[in-house]
Amino acid sequence: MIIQVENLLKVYRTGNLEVTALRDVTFSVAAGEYLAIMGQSGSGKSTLMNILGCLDSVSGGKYFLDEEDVSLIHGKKLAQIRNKKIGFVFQSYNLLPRLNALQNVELPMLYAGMRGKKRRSTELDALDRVGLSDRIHHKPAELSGGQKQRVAIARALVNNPSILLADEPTGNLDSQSGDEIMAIFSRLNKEGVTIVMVTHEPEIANHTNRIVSFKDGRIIKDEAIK
Amino acid sequence: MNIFECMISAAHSVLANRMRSILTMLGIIIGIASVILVTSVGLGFRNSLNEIFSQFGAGAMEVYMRFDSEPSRSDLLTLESAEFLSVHPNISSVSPFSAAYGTVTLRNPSETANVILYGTNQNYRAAQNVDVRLGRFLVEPDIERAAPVIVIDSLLARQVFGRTDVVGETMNVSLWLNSAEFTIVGVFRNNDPMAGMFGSSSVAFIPITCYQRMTGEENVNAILVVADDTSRLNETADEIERLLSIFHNNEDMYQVMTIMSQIEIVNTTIGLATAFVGLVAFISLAVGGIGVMNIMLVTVTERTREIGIRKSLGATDGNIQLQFLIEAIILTATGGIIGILLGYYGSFSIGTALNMPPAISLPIVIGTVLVSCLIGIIFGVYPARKAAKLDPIEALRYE
Repeated sequence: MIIQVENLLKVYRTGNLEVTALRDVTFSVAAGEYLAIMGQSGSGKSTLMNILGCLDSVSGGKYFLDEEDVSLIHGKKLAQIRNKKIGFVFQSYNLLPRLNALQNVELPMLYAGMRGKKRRSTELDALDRVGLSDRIHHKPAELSGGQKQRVAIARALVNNPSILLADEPTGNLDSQSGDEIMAIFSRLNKEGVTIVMVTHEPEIANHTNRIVSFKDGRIIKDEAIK
Repeated sequence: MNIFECMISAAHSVLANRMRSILTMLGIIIGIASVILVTSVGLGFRNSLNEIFSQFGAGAMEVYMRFDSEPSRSDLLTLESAEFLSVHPNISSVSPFSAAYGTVTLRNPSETANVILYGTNQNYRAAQNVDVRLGRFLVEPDIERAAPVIVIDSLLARQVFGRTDVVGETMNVSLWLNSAEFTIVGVFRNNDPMAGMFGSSSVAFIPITCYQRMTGEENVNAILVVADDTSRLNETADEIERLLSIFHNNEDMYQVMTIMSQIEIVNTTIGLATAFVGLVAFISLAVGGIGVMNIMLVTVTERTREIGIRKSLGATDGNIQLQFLIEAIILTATGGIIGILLGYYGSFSIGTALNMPPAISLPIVIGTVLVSCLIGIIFGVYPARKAAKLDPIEALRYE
């Protein structure tokens, strides 16, 4: 199993108020799976995304990533796990505006301490996989939304992560660009990349092979669709 | 991410906000430039003065009336009191002298030039290392006969005659209300590094007897004394004071300054002045550092989202901290280097204007570079730590 979550609990405290964002969440993702996490806003799907992406800590339960209990890991080691095992694709792309496509894709490798020559070939390879070989020197402002998201996908792939986490990846895109992005995800999944995608749109979720539905911080449905 | 990659990335950030970076550096630039300027001009000034003093031998002493004394006529130094001092066993030569501004007539008779006229005797040359290039210095018979002979510096020779081989020529010299024809017997090179600094400061020597005749004075301004045994300088100075008290029958009127003590006084004064102005410059440097911290804090806030993105891609707190720290250091170090160049250029301009070569001290230059880096570290650490401690989820949500 790439991901194994057991009895996950996440409680936020703001002043005297306690909000339980996730309760008793248990599920697992096997290598090569392509699944969608669905739910209304406030259902806890974004919180789960942050925890799966090692950006947030758990309040209770266990989270194993690649058989390693990451709920016990903090600080520098957690940053290294984010760097090597997780690739993020965000709704708002989150590219650095001052850097061009190539430099944006390079960032995870810089933090991984990869050497210059190897970085360059990996970057070009990743941009080629998302079909952006002709835009490598463009800055985000010079790219369309779909192209920006493809740069973001290339950036998520360069360190060969165990899992690709996509948070509403088509949320800011028109339907044509959205379809292109979904096509890329499908192709990557066929090539063996494990993908977990958060979305609230059923049409988007239907591109995947399995849908896990959330409501009020709990899993209400977990079904294979193909 | 290694240091080199961090530096390139930081340099890009600094360049991305060019105007702001320059304004931020300005405080550091001004601070460093003024430290360099003040210290090198101060050191240059001290070196120039020391060079003047070094023309005197180590055994040279000057005897004059105390500044705060109210001498009566009989207390004033005279040729006779100078003569009296020469009996002291440790004194090898005595040169009484007086000096005043005189005027000489130039080639065009309606034009005149100022000259500092020294009335003295033959011993002055050795005591002050007067560098006679042509002809001779004053000799004993000149003094005895009050001969109208003059030794001028090459500046004056060029001014009056347009050339320096002027031995045997005559020139008209006015001192106070009298004027007289003088025969030039020698030309010397004025190696006063300050010559020409305050307008004309050509120097000429005439026999002290001649000087007194023209001014009507019976006293002399001061007496230049050279002691043989420099290890007994202070004792000799005390004894000179005592001899003069006996000769003039009045105590506490005279003051003996050894060259060493003069050098010390000048060095201490200039050193203190330099240190004080340097301190003020250093304070402006610290203010510049606070400016850097201010801008770095703004930068961290502005780039909250960037920090969130970098963290989501695997940047550790250490990576983020190093990135912002290096940006601060690049700002202050670049400012420091520009400041050094400006200070260097500025002190040469001032030095040229004052005819006084500045002394750029390498340790101070290296020191200021280190200080400007240090300021970057000191004032950069807090903003950098603030950036590193940002929560990635909140940073990613920041608009």
